[in-house]
Amino acid sequence: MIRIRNLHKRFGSKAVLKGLDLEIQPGETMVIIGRSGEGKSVLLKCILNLIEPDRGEIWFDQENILTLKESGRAQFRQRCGMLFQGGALFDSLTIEENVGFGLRRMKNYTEERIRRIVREKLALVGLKDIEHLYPAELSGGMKKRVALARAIAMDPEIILYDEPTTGVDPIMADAINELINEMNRKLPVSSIAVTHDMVSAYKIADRIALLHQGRIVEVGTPAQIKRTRNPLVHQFITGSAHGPISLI
Amino acid sequence: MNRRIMQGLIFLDKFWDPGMNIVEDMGRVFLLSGRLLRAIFKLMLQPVRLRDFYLRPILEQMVRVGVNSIPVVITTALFTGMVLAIQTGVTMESKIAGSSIFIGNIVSLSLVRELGPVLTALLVTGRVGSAIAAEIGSMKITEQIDALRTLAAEPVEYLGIPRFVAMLVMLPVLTVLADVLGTMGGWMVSSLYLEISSTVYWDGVRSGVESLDILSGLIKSLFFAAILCIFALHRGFSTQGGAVGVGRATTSAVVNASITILIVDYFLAQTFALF
Ligand SMILES: Nc1ncnc2c1ncn2[C@@H]1O[C@H](COP(=O)(O)OP(=O)(O)OP(=O)(O)O)[C@@H](O)[C@H]1O
Ligand SMILES: [Mg+2]
Repeated sequence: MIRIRNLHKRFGSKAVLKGLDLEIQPGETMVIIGRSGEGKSVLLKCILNLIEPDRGEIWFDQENILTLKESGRAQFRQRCGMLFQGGALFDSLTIEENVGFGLRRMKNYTEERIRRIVREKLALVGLKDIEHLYPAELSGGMKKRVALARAIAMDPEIILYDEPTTGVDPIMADAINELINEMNRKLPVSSIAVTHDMVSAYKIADRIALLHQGRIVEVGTPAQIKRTRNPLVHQFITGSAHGPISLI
Repeated sequence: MNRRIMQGLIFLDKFWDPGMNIVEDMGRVFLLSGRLLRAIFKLMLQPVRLRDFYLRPILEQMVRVGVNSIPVVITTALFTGMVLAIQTGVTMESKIAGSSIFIGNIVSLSLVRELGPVLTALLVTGRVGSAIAAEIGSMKITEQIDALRTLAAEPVEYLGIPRFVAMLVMLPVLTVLADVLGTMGGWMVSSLYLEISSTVYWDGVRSGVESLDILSGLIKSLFFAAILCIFALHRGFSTQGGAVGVGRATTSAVVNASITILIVDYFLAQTFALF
């Protein structure tokens, strides 16, 4: 279980997270929705300790990872997989080396076995015979899928997806949704997914949380969210320009 | 305490060169070198890790830093030696007739002690330091640095160690090359234009340059290698904000490293003058 308590983060004079609380149960997929620039990516990076929050607690397995030393944090990070919003593929390495990067560093597998795992993970995201290419030679959607393959290559216990379906075609988006569901079925993976795509959110979420003005303002199952009385949530899920959330 | 010092440095910066933060950089570079040296020391105790993760990257960087810089260094050194010979030769001859027989002595000493190490370092700063800053800077803004950390590769070590080690090995090698080529340039001009016989020139070189001179030049180039590499790494890792940020990182890495190299050069020269 991941439990986030009273998380604060500001950049200069701009407060992004202002006392955020959230709990993710083991095996659960939590989808975080919220407007652009609300701090969803910042939240994911705080969980991984890539950004140091100003205040707050992040509990995992009875440990507040923010109080751990760097070595402990690095260990925690190794149990996580992260799909970055922009893919963040290493552009000096081939696709094969990208996907196999963590395996080569952390596992004592034979080269043959690593290559097989890489092929399998790429097949899961609908890609094959591109191992020898470099990221610059792929389309935007393909990069995203390679990044997804890299995020799941180590079979992590916690997976963070930053907009997994953005920039891929609708058929592939649905395949990715199924893949995310599949990941949780095989192993007790806890996932947090950030998305703007409500179709995807309903499909993959056990629960959905709305991030607004630095806090989680509502959490509920997809069914609860659809029936919500909260005007903020209603405006967001119906995608309306009119409502309590102003455009600027 | 540390913070106090940092604030003092930031204050000093505002007077010097707004935007370049050279004084603050020097402080941070000092901290970063400590961290890198510790990491390298730790790695030496784990030969298997060193071999598996770092050997290939170190060799790649050595090619990049060293081998690919050879043409530039050769050309610069050759012409520097030639200019040195003609300027000093003509001046000496006009003051005291016949004194240009010491030309080999002067050219080789200036090269080995000063121009070899400094010019090579400045060339490599422009050629490789800028590339390191730009490369790491663009990795920073595209989240590749974050991605490294999630995949059990501490970026400062994963990217820093190969570049740092390669630089420490290759810059002295390039410096020796520059010394040799520069002296040969001086010889060419001396014998073709100043009409000094080759024996006289090379006798001058031999009697002028002592092993301590060569050693001091190499020690200098080790310092310069560390300075230029760490400025580039530091600026790369602290890149912020898009393509403009990468450009700024590159410029300030080169400018700040070059200035620091020249300042440190003076203090090293003064130290070596004691011996
Ligand atoms: N490294 C940083 N330095 C300064 N400000 C930052 C930094 N990272 C994020 N921010 C700011 O934090 C806010 C939240 O950014 P974040 O990337 O988390 O948004 P988001 O919710 O993921 O938006 P989107 O849906 O568009 O991806 C933004 O206003 C952004 O300007
Ligand atoms: Mg985002």
